[in-house]
Amino acid sequence: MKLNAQIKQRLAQEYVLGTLRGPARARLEKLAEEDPAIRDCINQASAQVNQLAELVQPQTPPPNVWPAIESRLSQYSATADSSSGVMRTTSRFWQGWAIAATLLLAVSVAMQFEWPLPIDTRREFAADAMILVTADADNTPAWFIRADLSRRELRLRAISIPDPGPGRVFQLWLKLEGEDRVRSVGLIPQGGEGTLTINEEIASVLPRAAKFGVSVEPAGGSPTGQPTSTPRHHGYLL
Amino acid sequence: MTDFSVLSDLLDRSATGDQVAFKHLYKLAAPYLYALAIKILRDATAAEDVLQEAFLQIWKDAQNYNSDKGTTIAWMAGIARNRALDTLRRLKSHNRTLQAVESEPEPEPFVDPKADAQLSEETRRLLNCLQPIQAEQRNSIMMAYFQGLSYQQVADSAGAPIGTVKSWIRRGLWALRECMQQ
Repeated sequence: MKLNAQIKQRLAQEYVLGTLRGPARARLEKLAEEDPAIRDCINQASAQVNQLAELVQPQTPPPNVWPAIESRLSQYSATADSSSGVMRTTSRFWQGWAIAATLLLAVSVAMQFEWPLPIDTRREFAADAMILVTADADNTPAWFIRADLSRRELRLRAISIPDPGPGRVFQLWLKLEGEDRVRSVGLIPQGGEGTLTINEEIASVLPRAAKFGVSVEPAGGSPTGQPTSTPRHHGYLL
Repeated sequence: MTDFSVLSDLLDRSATGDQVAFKHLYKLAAPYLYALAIKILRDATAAEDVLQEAFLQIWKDAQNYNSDKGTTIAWMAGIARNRALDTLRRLKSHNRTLQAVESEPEPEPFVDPKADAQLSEETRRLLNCLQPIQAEQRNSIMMAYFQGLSYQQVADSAGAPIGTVKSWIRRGLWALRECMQQ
């Protein structure tokens, strides 16, 4: 069956929406197996139609769902490793990361400074490293920070836009392995968005940071050079 | 409102097997996918199962995602919605489900574009494209998308002939496509 481009696009839209049903749906699926243009149309329609999902009012799932996923994730990883040994490592993407794999181990970089952090769980800090800062209370992502060491800049994007309170600011800190004191990285811009220019000292030690944290401080930043409140957020190096 | 652009970075990291990034991806995206599944199924337990299966599929397929497949949230929503529709189809009688729906609590409404000043750029664009579409077309598309209804079921619900509903949905989808490609 020969379909012109517009008919392919229209059928793909109905297919994605779910209104194309029965034998017509099965026929399009069969045609898509043989015709890459139809597969492209379906991908394109899926990209557009599924944006409708952004309109729902988000609802927090019950707390039991993530642990259930996490436990099966581990099973899946273990199965994949033992059954094929190469299931994920065959992907081009993974191959690109293979060299860094030993360095890219999961780590939670908590701001509770008394926590010991084993060095072998440290990630390598890339020149364009990303840091995800989450709220301690419920681990909700708060800021996403991308480092650009060549420009001595940290670009911040607020995710949930926490409020420091009137006359207060958020201050970003880092701690080096083996040091007792913490160092100020800078004040997070009002509204949580923007670029933070870091000084040479911080730029030079940033790749060795063991922990990140954010505390609430008086306007202008901590007057003591150290956090004056218990950090409410901690950073994960991604 | 979530900054959806962050999801792409987290999905990239998840594709490398990074469970920490995946957990944060879940934290940000699950409320949308869960709300979508509830809208389709009107059943919290079934929606939880769908959410679980959807995220396992997202984990497995993360390395196959690229921006040609749409925004990260749209790609993930497509996976969750297909799972929810599969669940819906597995029920013995869709009609029975529709009858049951009447006794279920009404799910949370859609975002109110006037009330939420922090809508993402993508969502604003989508709303701008939906606005000029005729109300009958837009409502029919919404019913089919968020409730998984067939043409006949939309026609029954709207009290319009099936041919008219087909025309509404097709024209509405095409108008949406034209606008979003600009």
